[in-house]
Amino acid sequence: MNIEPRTRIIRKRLSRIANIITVTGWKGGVGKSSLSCVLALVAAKNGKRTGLMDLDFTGACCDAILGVENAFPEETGGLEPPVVAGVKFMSASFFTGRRALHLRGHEITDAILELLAVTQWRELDYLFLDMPPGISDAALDVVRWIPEARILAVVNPSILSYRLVEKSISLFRDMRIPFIGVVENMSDKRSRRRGGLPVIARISRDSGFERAIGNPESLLKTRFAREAEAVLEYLDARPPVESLPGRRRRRAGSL
Amino acid sequence: MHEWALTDAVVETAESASREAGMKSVSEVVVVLGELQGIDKGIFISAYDQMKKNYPRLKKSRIVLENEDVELHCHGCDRDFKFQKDELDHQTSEAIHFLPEVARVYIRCPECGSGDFSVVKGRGFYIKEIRGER
Repeated sequence: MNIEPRTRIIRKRLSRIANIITVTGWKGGVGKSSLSCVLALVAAKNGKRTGLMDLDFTGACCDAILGVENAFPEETGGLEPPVVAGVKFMSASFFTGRRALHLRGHEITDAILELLAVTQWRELDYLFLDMPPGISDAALDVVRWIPEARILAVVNPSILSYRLVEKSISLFRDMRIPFIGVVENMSDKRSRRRGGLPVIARISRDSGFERAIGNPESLLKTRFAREAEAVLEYLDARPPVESLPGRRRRRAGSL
Repeated sequence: MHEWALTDAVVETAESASREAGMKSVSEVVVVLGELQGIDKGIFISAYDQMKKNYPRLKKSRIVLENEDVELHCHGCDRDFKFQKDELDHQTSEAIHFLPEVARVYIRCPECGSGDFSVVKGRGFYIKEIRGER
């Protein structure tokens, strides 16, 4: 008998979070991390108790977007995430500094499990999970251990980006994963004619965003942030359904 | 302390696993601690003794800790190598303590210098056995 204890504690750690939003997409560079960070900043600015977890271990960049330097989680009955511009923030980058973290599949699973088991988020209105691209180990692990997490997909105007998400929606349906909708980033006139996906908001290409990276106050003043408000309004208006019809809640782990 | 969160996982799991196994009470919970994570045994035992009071089946139980040495396998040169904890500075040990996977950032294969290795044994912790009365 070898029992993995961490899987059973995850539900307890996340039990006081009203909304868990998995920000994902199927192509690199579409703006998943930018949107995760900005949504968290906007939510916190609007008075929501907010957390942000960077689960893109091998491509972690939320710390750079938020300008986090020399922060480290406090050790109090677990790990207490540092607060950055009102957002509780957790990332593997706290433990690697500026070095790259190269992980194989099962190590990604172990790292996610570890951080979920020890991070003390306490009571939150929103927890945003910034995911790596695609349906990888990280995505499947989050679905397995956090069945209440709802997916928010980020695309760019490319037909490639759209087609990959279209394919995935049927997978989510089959796996009974709550799917909120799509945010189109770097939106332009071409893409506005493109159908097929439930687009809940469009965010224009914002040349000023790059200059604001590393400064939360500046990020909140960007057009990107102003347009991202629409996403948050959409989420505020649609809280999670506790038990969706026919949706069997998966247990986190088994003996 | 970080160990409290890990112990919390052990007591929650031991209680629910013993209940599912039809146990009336638990006498011992055997936990294996991998050397890599460097969990403080004293804190772990103290946390367990505090927390078990809130779990009906665990109230009279004790925790038994077993060590597991680290075994690393390099994917670069396909050799096994040992973990030299004494060679790590405090900050690195702390980082690995909180997230053992970051060992790949700091440790290199002594033969070929690669950081692409797997932890074969001794990463973290797991429950090896729950002993009790049915």
